[in-house]
Amino acid sequence: MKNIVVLIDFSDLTFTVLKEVHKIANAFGSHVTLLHAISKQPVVVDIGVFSPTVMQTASPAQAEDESGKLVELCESLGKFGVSATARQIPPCTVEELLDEAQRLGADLIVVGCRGHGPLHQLLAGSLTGDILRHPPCPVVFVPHT
Amino acid sequence: MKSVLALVDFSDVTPRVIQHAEAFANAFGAEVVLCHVTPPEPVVVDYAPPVPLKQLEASGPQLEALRDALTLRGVYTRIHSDQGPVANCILEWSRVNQPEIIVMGSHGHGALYNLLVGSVTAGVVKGATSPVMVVPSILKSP
Repeated sequence: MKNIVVLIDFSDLTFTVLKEVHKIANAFGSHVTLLHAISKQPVVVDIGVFSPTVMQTASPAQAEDESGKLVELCESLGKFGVSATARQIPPCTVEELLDEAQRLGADLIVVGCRGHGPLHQLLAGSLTGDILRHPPCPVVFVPHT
Repeated sequence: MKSVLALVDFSDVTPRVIQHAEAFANAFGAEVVLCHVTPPEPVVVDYAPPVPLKQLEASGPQLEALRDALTLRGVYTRIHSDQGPVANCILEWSRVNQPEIIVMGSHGHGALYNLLVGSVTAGVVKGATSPVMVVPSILKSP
């Protein structure tokens, strides 16, 4: 486990995930890459009686803000003696995200796992489920505790 | 003592599950708990062939062989055998024992199997309070 790729989404789980990554990376002396796909923003479009929600590409300012936070996370891992780099990519699907992780030479992927209810999973799908279908390499799911 | 829970089902993924569990145990200074759960025989949806008695009896010695192999390599190893709904048994054990990590295989069951029986891996990942490592059963060629 020399190359750990961590999927970062800046949620409340991120801290828990990084704690686990720190533990594993320290134990195995691994290099860590923090991978983040810029998130799309929901925008409500007002057309007469309809107000459909449309996902819009993030503004450059937001991308900048997120990349700043990513670098901060990298530095804080560095302070704990873990060699880490950051990689930010445009909004993409789960498959593209996993492909990117493979390109980065991941032999372990770490991701947070939130226990959404069945309705949310039906409507929004679940990242965990998508990864579980075709894991490209061993994946560690860190639970919300 | 810290522990690493390895789920053993004697399939093609088991050797890799053991290998990762051993690596974690060495890295964390933990013991390995080899866990084998025999699922209950289907009662209502009776399309799966019942587990032959021979297979049930065979899992004991097979588990012991795996334990002895790990012990020889210097890893303190225990066996935990259970019978019941697989995901529930595993979650129950990990709630009580709080392992450092749970290592298991991802199983390439079909969509129909997952719909009717539910995926054990998804059940464990979603319900666990410890990190879960899922080892792919078929490695995608790069």
